[in-house]
Amino acid sequence: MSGPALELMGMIDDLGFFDCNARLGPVPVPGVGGWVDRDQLLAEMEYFGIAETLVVSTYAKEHLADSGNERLMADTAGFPTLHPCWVLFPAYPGIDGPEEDRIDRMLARGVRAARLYPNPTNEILDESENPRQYVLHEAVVGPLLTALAARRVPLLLDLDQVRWEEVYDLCTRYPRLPIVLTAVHYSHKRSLFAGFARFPNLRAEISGYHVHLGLEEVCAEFGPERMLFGTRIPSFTPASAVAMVRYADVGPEAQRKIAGDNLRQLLGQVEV
Amino acid sequence: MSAILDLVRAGRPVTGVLVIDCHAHIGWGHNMPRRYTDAESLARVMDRLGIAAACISSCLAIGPDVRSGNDEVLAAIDRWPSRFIGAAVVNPNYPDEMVRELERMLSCPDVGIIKVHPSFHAYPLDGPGYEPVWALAEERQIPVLAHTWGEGRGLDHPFQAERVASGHPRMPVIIGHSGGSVGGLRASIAAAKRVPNLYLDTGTSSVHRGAVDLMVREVGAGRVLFGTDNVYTGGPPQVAKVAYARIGDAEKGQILGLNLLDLLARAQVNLPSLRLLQGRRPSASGAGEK
Repeated sequence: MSGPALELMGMIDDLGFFDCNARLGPVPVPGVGGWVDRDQLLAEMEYFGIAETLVVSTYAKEHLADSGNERLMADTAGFPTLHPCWVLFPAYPGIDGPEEDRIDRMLARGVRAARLYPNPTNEILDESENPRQYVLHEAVVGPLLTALAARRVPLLLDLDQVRWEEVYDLCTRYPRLPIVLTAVHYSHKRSLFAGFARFPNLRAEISGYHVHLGLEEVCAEFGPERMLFGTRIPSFTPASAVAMVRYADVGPEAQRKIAGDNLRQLLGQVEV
Repeated sequence: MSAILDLVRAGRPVTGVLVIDCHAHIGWGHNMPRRYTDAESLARVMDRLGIAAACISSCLAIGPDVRSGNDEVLAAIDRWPSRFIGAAVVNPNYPDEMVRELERMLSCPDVGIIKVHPSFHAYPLDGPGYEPVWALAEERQIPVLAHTWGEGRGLDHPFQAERVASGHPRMPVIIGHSGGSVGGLRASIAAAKRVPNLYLDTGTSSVHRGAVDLMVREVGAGRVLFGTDNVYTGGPPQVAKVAYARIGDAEKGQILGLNLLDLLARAQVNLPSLRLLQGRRPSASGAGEK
């Protein structure tokens, strides 16, 4: 390999990419590239130069949360670059125990992030056609979010699952709870920036943030701490988000934060 | 090994191949929030990515005011010579003005393709109002970039592009966004396999994993064109989709610029920049002149 090629190769891993938005396992409606199992995910990470991945089980999202989370634990056990993210639902009366106990058990298993999917089998938030299983109101999710906030467990929410009013309400009620919005689209910019201006605990993942000079703008207005690298694999190609960060004219420190250090910091501050 | 991929992995401009964007915009519209929408910021990102030239249409033109928007494109071409190729926008809802406006644009230097937006103009791509445009484009072999999206709203389905292209075999029709959604992409590929003058545009914010690989596998690299949809979207993901595709660098070079260069060379339009771009065509050894 030539000198220039080695020089280029040496730059590949310098940003420490840590994907916050990946899903493992079969999906009911496959995209162009289908779905990925663990080994395929690891191969994709290597190809795209991604060091670590926070991964959710599709089985947990779309079928059964508890058993899907267990499958995920089995799949990721022994693979230190894969970090499980559990799918949670508000405790079901008479079946699930106290929320605090559930979060304690989750943390004891080494899990440091969680997702809620009120709209688990739909990708469009249209409640006239597809009512959600629950809304993000205090009456429903209060005890669960209180338990997560007490331990500062990052909560990831797809924007096809929640309304902006709910996001703002959660940010207000739970200032200790880091909230990461995923599947953010360029049409969300006004709502996103309003949230960034008011809520220090709000962050956004970049896989859908296809904005001309978009990361440059967010870094200038709000700092690089608010954006997290995410690929949305298996639906999206990681090439997209990797290049967003790699080509962003924000300086290497900001690039490293967006690429992975912001997520590492969030996971590292969980109070176990 | 891919020299193109090595450069993109390092965040460097693509060199050694000619990169021409078939699908870009300047300006903004629909009150969507944007800070940077001007030709200068677009040129800056093109430099960062190694894009030699971009076919641009105005967001104003694909919205309410075709003539003023087209004038924005002419001004950008004048301000940034050889970086932009104008895409003349037409609106069939103004039939008395449509052909006159198209001829006005095509008489200007470096206006090389035609752009239609059936969705924003709320007029079906295969409707009769476009026929005078197709007749002119057919006669002069001018590429037409047609916005398409999704599984169909009666306006901009890829199969409507197929009907237009099949009726005008000398007119290259670029399926804008290649239908965008998963279903739209599959329909675009099916249409392109049936009609040889259909071309697939890689530019879309729906960055499906494996999409470029699938396009090449199904229709061949010779009918896939690199597009960004800048300034609606960001440029880096669009370059990276091609760079990371599991295809050869020769195929990437075709997609990134050579295919469009060949289409522009065949079109009977006034393109002073064409010779410059042809001069930047890589030699057989693969060494570019950037």
